Amino acid sequence: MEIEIVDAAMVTIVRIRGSVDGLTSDRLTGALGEQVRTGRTRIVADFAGVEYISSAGLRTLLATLKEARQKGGDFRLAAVSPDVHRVLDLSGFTSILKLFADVESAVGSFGE
Amino acid sequence: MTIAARIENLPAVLDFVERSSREAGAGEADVFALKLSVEEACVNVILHGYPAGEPGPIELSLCGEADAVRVTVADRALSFAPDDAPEPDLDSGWEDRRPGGLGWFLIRKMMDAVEYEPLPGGGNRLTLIKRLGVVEEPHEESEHGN
Repeated sequence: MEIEIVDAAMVTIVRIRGSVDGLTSDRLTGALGEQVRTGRTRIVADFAGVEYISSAGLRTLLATLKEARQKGGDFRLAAVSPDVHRVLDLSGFTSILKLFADVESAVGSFGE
Repeated sequence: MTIAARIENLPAVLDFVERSSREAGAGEADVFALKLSVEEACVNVILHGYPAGEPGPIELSLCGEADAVRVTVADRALSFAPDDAPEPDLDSGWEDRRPGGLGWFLIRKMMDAVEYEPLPGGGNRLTLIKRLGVVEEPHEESEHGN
């Protein structure tokens, strides 16, 4: 899994590629948590390159979502593949996470 | 394949399932479902089955059948009862949402059959069966209020 932090003006974009699984999810939790703890609480995760996620990855998403919202921000997902979307749907995550078709619309949603 | 029950071995497990299930004729969605289910089963054994620092073996086999893939996950770890897994929290708001129980829940949702048996002399064998190319009804999404 690769993680790339892209600092935008108002919103931090985190580009993730590969597999978010039981081995890699801790590293992602750390990277996203560091953003929140350094005051970058408006985060968009670009999931275009995420081909796989397991329940370990769902824990990461939930932990980041809670931390960002508790600090007044939000954690939103963009460009989620159909297979990953299905896991989010089955697990009830689509009712608590905001998902967008692409990064541009996810970033734009923070200004609404 | 047989691996030591260490989280570092998860990529080898996922590679094995992806490669073998493709060879057995599984398409993208079925490969995803099989990888996810086998990961959840193996991570449970790795984290909860063997004593910390004493990883025993996990034996995996995958075979293609006429219209399905059958995977077995066997270990020598503490017995477990899948029916005792906690119910997942699918409906609470974000503040109160608990992440536990999703592993077994996803296995059951992704697979067409899940069979568990304790092994004589200790250990467990989980058999996961995925029928290939079955398009699911969309009712599952609304079932949980999404």
